[in-house]
Amino acid sequence: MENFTLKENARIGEKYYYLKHKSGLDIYVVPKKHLSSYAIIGTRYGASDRSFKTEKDEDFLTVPDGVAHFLEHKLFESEDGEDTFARFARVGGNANAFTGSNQTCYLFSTTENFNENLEILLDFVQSPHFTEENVAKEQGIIGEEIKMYEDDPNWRVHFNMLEGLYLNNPAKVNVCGTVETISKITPEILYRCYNTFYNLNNMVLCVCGDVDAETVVSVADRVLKPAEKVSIIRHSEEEPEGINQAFVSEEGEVAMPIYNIGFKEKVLSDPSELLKYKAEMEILMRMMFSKSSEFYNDSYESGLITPWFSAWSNAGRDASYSVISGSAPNPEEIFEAVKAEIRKRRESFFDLDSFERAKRCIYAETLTDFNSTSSVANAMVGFALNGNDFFDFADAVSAVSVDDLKKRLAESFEPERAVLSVVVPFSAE
Amino acid sequence: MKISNYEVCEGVKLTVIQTDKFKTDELSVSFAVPLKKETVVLDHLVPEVLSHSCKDYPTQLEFNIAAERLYAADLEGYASNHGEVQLINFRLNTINESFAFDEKELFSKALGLFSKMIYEPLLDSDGFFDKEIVEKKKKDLCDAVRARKNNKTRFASSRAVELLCEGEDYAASVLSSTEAVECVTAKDLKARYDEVLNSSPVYIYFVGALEGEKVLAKVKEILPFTPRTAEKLVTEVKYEAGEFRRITERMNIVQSKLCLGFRSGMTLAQDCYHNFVLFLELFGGSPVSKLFVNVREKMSLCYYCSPIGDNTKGIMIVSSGIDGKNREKAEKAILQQLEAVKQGDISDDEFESAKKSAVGALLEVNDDQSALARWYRGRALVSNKETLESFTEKILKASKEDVVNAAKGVSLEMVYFLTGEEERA
Repeated sequence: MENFTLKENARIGEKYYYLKHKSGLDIYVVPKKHLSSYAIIGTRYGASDRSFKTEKDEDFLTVPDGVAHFLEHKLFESEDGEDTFARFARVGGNANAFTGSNQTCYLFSTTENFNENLEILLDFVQSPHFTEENVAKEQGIIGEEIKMYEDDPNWRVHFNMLEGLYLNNPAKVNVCGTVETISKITPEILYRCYNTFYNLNNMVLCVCGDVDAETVVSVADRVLKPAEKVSIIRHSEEEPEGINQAFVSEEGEVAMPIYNIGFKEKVLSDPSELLKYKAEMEILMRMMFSKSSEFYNDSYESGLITPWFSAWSNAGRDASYSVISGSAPNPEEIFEAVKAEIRKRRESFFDLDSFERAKRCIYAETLTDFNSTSSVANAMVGFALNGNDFFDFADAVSAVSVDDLKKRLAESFEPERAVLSVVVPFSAE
Repeated sequence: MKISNYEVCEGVKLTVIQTDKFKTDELSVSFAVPLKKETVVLDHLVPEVLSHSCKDYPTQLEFNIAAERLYAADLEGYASNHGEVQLINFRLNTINESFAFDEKELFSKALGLFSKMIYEPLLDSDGFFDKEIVEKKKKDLCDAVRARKNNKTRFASSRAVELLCEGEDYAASVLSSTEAVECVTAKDLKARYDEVLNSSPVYIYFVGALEGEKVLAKVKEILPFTPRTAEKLVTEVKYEAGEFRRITERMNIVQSKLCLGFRSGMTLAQDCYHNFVLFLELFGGSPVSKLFVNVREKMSLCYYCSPIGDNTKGIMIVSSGIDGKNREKAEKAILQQLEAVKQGDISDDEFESAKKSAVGALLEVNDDQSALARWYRGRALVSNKETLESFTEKILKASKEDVVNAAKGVSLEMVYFLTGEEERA
């Protein structure tokens, strides 16, 4: 095992093996004595990658919205016409995939024939097959997926919030695109995207289960074709510090208004800064808005908020924002109350007890992630695609000091860069 | 993994699934009552009120902080149902003590708080639940009932269930009216609570690292259960479809929802239920199933099209999101796929893939703490002694004919269509 880096976390009783494979792929193996094993491979490519080139291309290519997600669907098509799901199913694998703003991931879980399943996973992500015909067929299916989301007020309110936050940043691009934009997708566009981003140097594999690292690498040796390292240049228009629109409203088939309050945060591209940011925001959000926070309880008692209330932060490669969301009769009042709470906490910070409790809760939650092979592997890949290590997260949380949080709070949740997005019931006709 | 069964006292059963594969310990307590229109709202409100606070921690803030101190012990109360058995559930999940920095006896302490949540509620001077809390929870439940339409996919399939089972007790599993919630009083709720706590059969499941005898001792020491006569709760199952109905409703939506309501008559109480599980897998349970491959992939009619069922009631709803103009085409395509299974039009590949998928799903239950408890509890409710292993064995032995026979038991009773389109001439 001399090629592997072994990392252990004694506190949580877990370890992983890491290897930079000769093909360029980063490989992580987290042993876990479960009956099922899980593998996920991800690429640093998502809905935000709208305009790009490699150092070998002359011009930037700007693609229609929704290409990354479309490509994810189409990669399941193979040249010999055999459906990829069927290939997995024959050896007992259950496959799936998902696309986000900055990443696209393919995965399977299985309780048998792990090597055969891994071989299929690594093979199909290296074997694109796009034709006029299969692209046209997918437009119908994804068209229905888009319509399903159009009827989903939680989806609408979220993307409207991003519209409010950003003028140019592609973070606001709807992952699926629209019926109109996907109609412009061609096999040529898909191949160019594929050839740019599905380079093994731009990808990460994580396996979690009762599998040994050497076996994983022997499958990788057999299946992976070495990839020449490319540098990807992404183009995006300058994004101003300020927001686009402070209030976005839409009518929908909802019982009471639903809302997303968004704060535009500074983008951090340095991985260690990003990890620190994540740890600090997680603690802050919990202290301010969790079910054991004063804000939550006071607002619930007074009827301002309902139990449909949550808060989280999103920190990506090219966009970073904080969200408070829920459903309540008067979102405008909640917007004001949230801003008031932030002002208040900047002036008089929380007591030490809530700080310690928040840290303890995050420790317990991180530990609980290790109950499931998919939670571990998804988190590992998510962190790795951002240049980080999930195993470092618990330590990053415990290293945070009260002063760090005060500083973070002073820099974040800026009321000037806040947006309220609402979906309200249709007005009576 | 070791499974031990105990009787804490008459009518109170404890199952301990001992395994060291999880970082957390989970214990759930379920009180079982008949699902009835008259009591269902109370059965939803009781766990909501109890999980808000308790006598020693009278506000939600204090109660939640007490739980957080125990390494974010997760304490919740909620209602669910298996067929016409209504469950009032309480669940405790806490990290295993070996991962705590300082705390000793973490599980016992968490169980102590859990016990306070169920047995020591905050009462007013009349001995009823705190009125303000009750009013809050009533309002939340009304909000949830109204918010049902926010999620169109779930709304359509639950509406289909409600319509399919109209006039049966099962229809009460879908809370669709706020009226019954609004007239509940703190006194009604307390009376229901007393009745449920003292006389309903109780099913307790523990999944975690502690030994069976230890869990039994802790449960006996900390949770004050009293003996009760456990009446057998039954669900009315219809084996054949009633008179066919076609129901269309309108909503301001872009994508139409098509739901086909079937009677399968197949339930966990039957020895051959595994054949139905295999049928579901083959028909619409995976990306290699007939519905996915044909209705989605070949015909491009939808993004999702799959069956859901209640394995105690014996119903199945095939739910799909489609373009309204394709309604007839989609309905025909779904029924055609069902007919194909009934006719035995199943390739070896399809059959083996479905088997692998069904077996894989069962094995994966072993890796999921909550799913393990749910799997065994569902069976215990109908006195089925099956284990995951024996059930898996049965699936492995099933033949194509078995699946065809299971399919033949499925009959269409209702087509529900939810659409944004205007009535067609």
